[in-house]
Amino acid sequence: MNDSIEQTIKELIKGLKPGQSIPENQLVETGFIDSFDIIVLVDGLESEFGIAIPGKEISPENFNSLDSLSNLINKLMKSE
Amino acid sequence: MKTHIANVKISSIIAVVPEQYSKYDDEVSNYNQAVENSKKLKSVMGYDEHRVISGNTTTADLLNHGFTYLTQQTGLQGTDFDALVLVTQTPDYILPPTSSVLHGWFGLSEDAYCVDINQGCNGYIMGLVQAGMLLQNKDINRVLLCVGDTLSTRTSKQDRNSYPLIGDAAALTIVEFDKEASGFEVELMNRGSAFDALIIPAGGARQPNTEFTKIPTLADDGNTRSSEQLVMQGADVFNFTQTVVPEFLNNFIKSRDLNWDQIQFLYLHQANSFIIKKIAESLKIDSNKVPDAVVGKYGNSSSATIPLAIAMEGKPNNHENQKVVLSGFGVGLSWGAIMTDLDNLDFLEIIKMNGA
Repeated sequence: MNDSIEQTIKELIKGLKPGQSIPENQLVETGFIDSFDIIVLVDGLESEFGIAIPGKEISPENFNSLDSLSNLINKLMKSE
Repeated sequence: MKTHIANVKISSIIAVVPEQYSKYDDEVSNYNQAVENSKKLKSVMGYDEHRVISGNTTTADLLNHGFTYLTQQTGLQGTDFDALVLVTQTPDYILPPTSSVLHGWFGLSEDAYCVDINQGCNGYIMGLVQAGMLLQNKDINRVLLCVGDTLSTRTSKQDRNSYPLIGDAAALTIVEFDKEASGFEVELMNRGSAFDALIIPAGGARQPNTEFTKIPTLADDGNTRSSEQLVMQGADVFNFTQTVVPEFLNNFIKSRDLNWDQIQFLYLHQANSFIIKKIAESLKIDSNKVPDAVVGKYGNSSSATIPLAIAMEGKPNNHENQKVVLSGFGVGLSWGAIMTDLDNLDFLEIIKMNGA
């Protein structure tokens, strides 16, 4: 389950950064994705997984790694 | 600060936008981002077009245009105002205060109180509070609150994080003493430790303009801007709007034994549609009560977005008892809210300044 979630997240990030390799960690910390990328990503994640991501969860911590993002999606899917 | 300001009301609002506008679709090629991603942002953020001044038009010019129209329509004149409060981050001069310039243009009496307040996204709330407090003085019966910014001149056209958002606009609001009025329920908050979350680094005494501060450079976030232009720590600001602001607003309502069903409109600062939508979701308030169309039509004009939203949504003389909450949040960081009754406005209109 986690693998397929992570794969979908990777695809969405690839769409944001065409042609670039996607780091596992420090996505926000290193500036690889900025707040506006996060907003586009939220829109994509909400559509792909049929969830609503609460504003308070759209934090640099939750979007900083593929792991933290997968955990967030998992948590939200369980609570739907 | 938490207080009640009694016996004051908003009686008229006029918003002024420049004639010139820019379309987001025409700007995407300026940004150092994949065009496809910039286009995705359009729908999520609610971008379409935004107003940008042409030539040397200033915030004060927009306000002067609005004042001329307002006085023609209402028969009021400068001497009918006992005080003028100006909220802007784009004054005409470092000194004198631009409220003094407006005082002269508008023909206010020499004993009228005038003050400039340097505020942005929470500026409308700050201005209303200042006006309301002035009206507690028995010699002051009518205050002219002037708000607005022309920040397109201080924002890089190659900065996707700021330029598509920014709109130039101004608004004049008449705030009056009325012994029948319910007044303003007020809360104001500040977090100065985050003063640099939204900042124009150069141009003040801390970092005066030099030949170097004008040079656009590629920043870590992939946008190009100079030190004389607006920079926003987008992730921090967004996080603030989604954690601090909803909790503040929920407490604001709950502490007054109210719920959102009892509020007719929540007029939020029009940062962008995404932020507004997410705040509305957090509050579990009917999204129809939370207007968000200003950014897509006019852009984010900091202190002028709330009066613009009211003018887009509302009608004068609607005779409905409208309990509304107005809330600003942003630069400072500063945030706040006012609850008031907004009905039977004498005047409510958006006008365009031709040639600007």
